[in-house]
Amino acid sequence: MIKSFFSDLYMLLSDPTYSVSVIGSILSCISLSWIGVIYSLRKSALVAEVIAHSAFPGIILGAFVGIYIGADEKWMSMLFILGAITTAYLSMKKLTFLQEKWHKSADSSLMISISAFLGIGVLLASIIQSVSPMVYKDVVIFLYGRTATMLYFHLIIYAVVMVILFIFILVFHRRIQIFEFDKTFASFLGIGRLLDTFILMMTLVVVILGLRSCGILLLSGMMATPAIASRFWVRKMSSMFILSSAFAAISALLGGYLSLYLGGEGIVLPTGPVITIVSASITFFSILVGIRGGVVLRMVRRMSFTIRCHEENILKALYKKNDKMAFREIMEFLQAGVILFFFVLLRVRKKVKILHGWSLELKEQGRVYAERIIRLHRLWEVYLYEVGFAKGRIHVFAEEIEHVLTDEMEEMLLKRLGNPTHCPHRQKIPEKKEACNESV
Amino acid sequence: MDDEIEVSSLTVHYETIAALIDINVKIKKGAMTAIIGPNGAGKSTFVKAILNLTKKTSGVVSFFGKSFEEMKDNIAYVCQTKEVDWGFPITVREVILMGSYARANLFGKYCQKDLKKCELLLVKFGLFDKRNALISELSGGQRQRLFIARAYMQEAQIYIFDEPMAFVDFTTSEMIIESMKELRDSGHTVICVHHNLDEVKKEFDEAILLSHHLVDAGPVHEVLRKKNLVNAYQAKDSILTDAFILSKEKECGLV
Amino acid sequence: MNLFNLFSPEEGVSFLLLLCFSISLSLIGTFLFLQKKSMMANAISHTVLFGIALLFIGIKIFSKTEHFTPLSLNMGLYIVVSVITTFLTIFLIECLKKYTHINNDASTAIVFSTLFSAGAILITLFTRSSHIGIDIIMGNLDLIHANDLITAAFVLLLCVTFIFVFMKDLTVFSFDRSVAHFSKRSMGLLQFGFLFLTSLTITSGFRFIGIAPVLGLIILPPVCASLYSKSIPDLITFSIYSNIAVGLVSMMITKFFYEKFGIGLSTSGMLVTLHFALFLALLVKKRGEARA
Repeated sequence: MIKSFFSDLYMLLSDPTYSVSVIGSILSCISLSWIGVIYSLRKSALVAEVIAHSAFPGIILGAFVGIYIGADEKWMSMLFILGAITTAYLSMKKLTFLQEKWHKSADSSLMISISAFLGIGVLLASIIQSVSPMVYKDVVIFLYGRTATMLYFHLIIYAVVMVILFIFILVFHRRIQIFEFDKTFASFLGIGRLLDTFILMMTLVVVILGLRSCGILLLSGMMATPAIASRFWVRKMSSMFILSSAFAAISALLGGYLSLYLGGEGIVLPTGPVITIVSASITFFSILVGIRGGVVLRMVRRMSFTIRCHEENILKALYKKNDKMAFREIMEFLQAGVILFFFVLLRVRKKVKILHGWSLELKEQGRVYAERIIRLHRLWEVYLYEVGFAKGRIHVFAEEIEHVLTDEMEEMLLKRLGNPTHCPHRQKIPEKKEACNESV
Repeated sequence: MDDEIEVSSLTVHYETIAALIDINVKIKKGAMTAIIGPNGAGKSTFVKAILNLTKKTSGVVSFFGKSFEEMKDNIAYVCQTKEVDWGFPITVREVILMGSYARANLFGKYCQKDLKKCELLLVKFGLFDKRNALISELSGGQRQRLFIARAYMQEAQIYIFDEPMAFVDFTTSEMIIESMKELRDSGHTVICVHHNLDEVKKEFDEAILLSHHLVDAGPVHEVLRKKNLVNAYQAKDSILTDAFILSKEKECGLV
Repeated sequence: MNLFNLFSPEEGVSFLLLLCFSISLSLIGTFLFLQKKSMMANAISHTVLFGIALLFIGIKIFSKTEHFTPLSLNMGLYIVVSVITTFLTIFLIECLKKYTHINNDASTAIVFSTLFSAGAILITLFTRSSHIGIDIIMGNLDLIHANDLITAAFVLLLCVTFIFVFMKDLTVFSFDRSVAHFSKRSMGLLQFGFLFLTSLTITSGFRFIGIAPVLGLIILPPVCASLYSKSIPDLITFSIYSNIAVGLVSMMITKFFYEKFGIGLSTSGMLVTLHFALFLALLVKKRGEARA
């Protein structure tokens, strides 16, 4: 079954009946995801929503012109694109106008643009439905997307646009980063208006080209999701571009496949929803399992940190007592149940000796480790005393921070405090020994 | 204690920003207390966290022995003017009347007593001429006075002001201090986030000096000692907040 | 103006239905606009498709009805759909915001795209027809009978009652959350009620007039009104008048075009277009006044 899945995929890419649409949709989704990365840095995911909805009346206006001049299929789609770009551009201009000149809130301006243009589009669609039902059907396809309507010449356009965008991002990579991060700083460097305009133009073009595969209603989802998903795996902006294009390509390919085969006999699903669902699934998967901030990984790290803290607390207790401690004593001390204690034991096994009668005793390695923790604790206490932290709370806070201080922080503390010998509670600070085998 | 607002182990942080670290302080009843400290050191956050307007990471607050939920209709909060939607279609009089909202009946009708009180407050705070104007038409000083008038309307026990002296003219500033003193003299508790140390020294009873952590709290003259001010205003490094944030991130599993 | 001379009884019913929804949506929209949460209506407008799909499947499985489309749902079911949808949407968005670093806009985009796509796919699969999705967007005022007027009137009644009774509370809540925060009155209940009403109005609105006009009526009348109104009752009054006027004019124009040219214009689309034109006209007028 897996083999037939891959051979079906291969067929989609190579068989001319399908390959044009599938490859075209892959190309346009990749371009969309790149624009999506830029917008995710701006934290405004809803602009695509405005552009997509505002394109609707434009497409129909293009259709009217096309009917009037008796255009063929190719010219018709050019007119659709031109019309769409015009109305989307007007809508964006109106949006900024409302926000800047009239101080309308972002929320209402977005909503006005979206609903007004969609409404005008609905009106125009009803006219076209009466005048030319065939063209009406072609227009309505844009609502949900249907890649099967793609022609070879669309493919060329998508490829060209993608290459231009790729070159732009490659060349202006640094500038985009600065611009998106801090606009004021960027304007001091002379980066600004031109870059912004170019990004807006590219956004308009890419979004409108993407309407054929994703559809008006779902485009903003397709733009946002690959970028968001990539955020859970990588940090660098360049890696985000690469990873999100991979996600977008997979979504488009798998989406195309599923829309053909999922419906069963005779039913072809509109491609927009299917591609979006695939992309959303990838996103949810990334949220759960992604390396950077994925939910599952976070849970694992939390557990690991808790166990380490318990480990360090045991070592400290054993060190201070200078004697062995019974299991039960330790469990009570840590307020931990048997299962947690088991994992902590696993972790601490190299640093302690497990004695008959269910108790633990420190080994040399454990002694060194414990001294380090106590050293960090007392150094931190000196620091807190110096910055005027509430005296009664110094010890409690140090109990928390002793587990996270890095070597670097220790260096900074020593520099600042000048190698103190005793903590505020008059206890001696252990000296720095050779680093233990385990890094903190 | 029943004559104090007791804050225990208040900690507030968001993502990668440490706002407040383990604050333990007692605010005296019937006194005028100033919350001071450098910019961004958590003064507004402190006030919002006590009032549950912002999420606390941990900490317990009691108001004269009662919880916030029990005391909340006895607390008047005057937020920073920049947080208000000045374009809202509402008149000056209606905003002041809003102060008695908690007392209004099911259909939201205000009683005669409240309507009369509103008129008095309009005069007292110099807003009578503007009583039917939209709030968008007010100047900076008038805006601040409007919200203080609303606070008066609430007839609360505790009055909390967040940076009331920002963006106001000298007359308004004096009026605000006088109002706060008036409230204190009539037995109410006043808490005010303020940045002008001279004024604090002159007019306030108690002070709480914050710099992400509690530097000092108590009578104004004790808190405003040089050692405390140096600690708060001349922080040499950010090790404190860095270590704190690292600890919180590890606890959340982010690193 | 004698309604019955201008319109036939069927058209009269359509007009009244349109009016009921216009006013309900504008009432809700006024407070959404004041709270700056109008985009939430956009999000719900997408996710409602998922709610309808779920309900749809549920009914098909449990009652084995053969000929069944989303267009034949009755009032009670609408209430169910709206509750499920709204709370699912908000719950998911808040979950995303809480447990990950994703911001508000992006969370909204993810949730509504996912639910909308899921809904569209499910409905297409189960009805074996690709047209349902289109009707939901465009609406179809011609497929209405008198019974539907009862539904519309019911929704209107709910909206008017709720807003009238809780006018002060809604005002306070929309203006300054902190006053609401400190009062012992139950803000949670108010929010819940308002949300439920929003969802119900939007959901039933889709069935009768389509997504585009629902969105348009939620934002455009309140925004037009805000250009000239000084208080919330003013906002509402202006919205009601403009809805009646624009509604009448839309129907007259569509009727005219149909009789003269045989072109069936979408009344819903005309409605939004005219409201938008009114908005632009008022903007220009206000600009002119500011210049003078």
